Amino acid sequence: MSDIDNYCNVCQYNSGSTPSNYDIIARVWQTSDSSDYLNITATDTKSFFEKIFEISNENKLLRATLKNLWNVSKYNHEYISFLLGQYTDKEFAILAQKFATKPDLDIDKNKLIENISIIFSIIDDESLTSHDLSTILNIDCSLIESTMSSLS
Amino acid sequence: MSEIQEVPGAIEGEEIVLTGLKIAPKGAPIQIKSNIVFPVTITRRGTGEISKAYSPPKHKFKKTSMLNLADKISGRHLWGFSSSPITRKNVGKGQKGRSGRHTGQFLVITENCFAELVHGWKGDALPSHPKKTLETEDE
Repeated sequence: MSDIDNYCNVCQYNSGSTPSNYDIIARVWQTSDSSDYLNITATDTKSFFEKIFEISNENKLLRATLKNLWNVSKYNHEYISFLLGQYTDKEFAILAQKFATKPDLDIDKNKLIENISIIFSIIDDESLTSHDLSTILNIDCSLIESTMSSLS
Repeated sequence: MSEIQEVPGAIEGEEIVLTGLKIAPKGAPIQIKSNIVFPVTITRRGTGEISKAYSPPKHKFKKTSMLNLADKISGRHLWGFSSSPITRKNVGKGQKGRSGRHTGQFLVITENCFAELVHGWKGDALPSHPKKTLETEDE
């Protein structure tokens, strides 16, 4: 039985003596099998919302990453066409301008470390370099290096 | 001329010869001010040498870059860019990049060029792979 379960029991059986400091979020439900009583589970509010924010941040990062990689993929197709001689230098210069990215230079160091950790948890490949990470995350390569070197 | 084998080290020039065992253009172009540049990376035994210096010498990308003819950086991992896209005619095999087991590759980048050491031969500023660094941090 977890601390939260214990705590719920306290609420249920000793409702007049709840702890002075608490912040919980509860789920209350009833099924046809248990229509004569309510089921209640509760958890600490802070850790509950931390998990939700974690999922939300990961979702944001993955959406941004997908956009970056889609941009790189489209550029690579055009680059291949250029190498095959389908575009002149001038035509390619115009196209390249369209795909050019401005790396993010203002990202918070802790946020960057968190983002890199997420990428490594998905792509578990040691051949992934800081330059690869800069492409995936659209962050300046030297910023990634300096952030990572400050950890070592 | 001078040579740097540990980070931080960077060169800039009108023409830079990059040699190594794994040279690749990577990622979409990058917008720097009003110009766009085309990134390139060398992940095995890289060197970069200025074969044509800016005239007059002037820093365009990083204030600490070396600018003189034949100034050189070398290490395990380099990255850089040029303001002109890399084409087949810029790339070659053998010559300077050659090693006992590998014919080597070289790449000549032109116009406004920049190359920087990411992972040098010596020194410990940036030796860790990002993944290893994170694992160390977790411990």
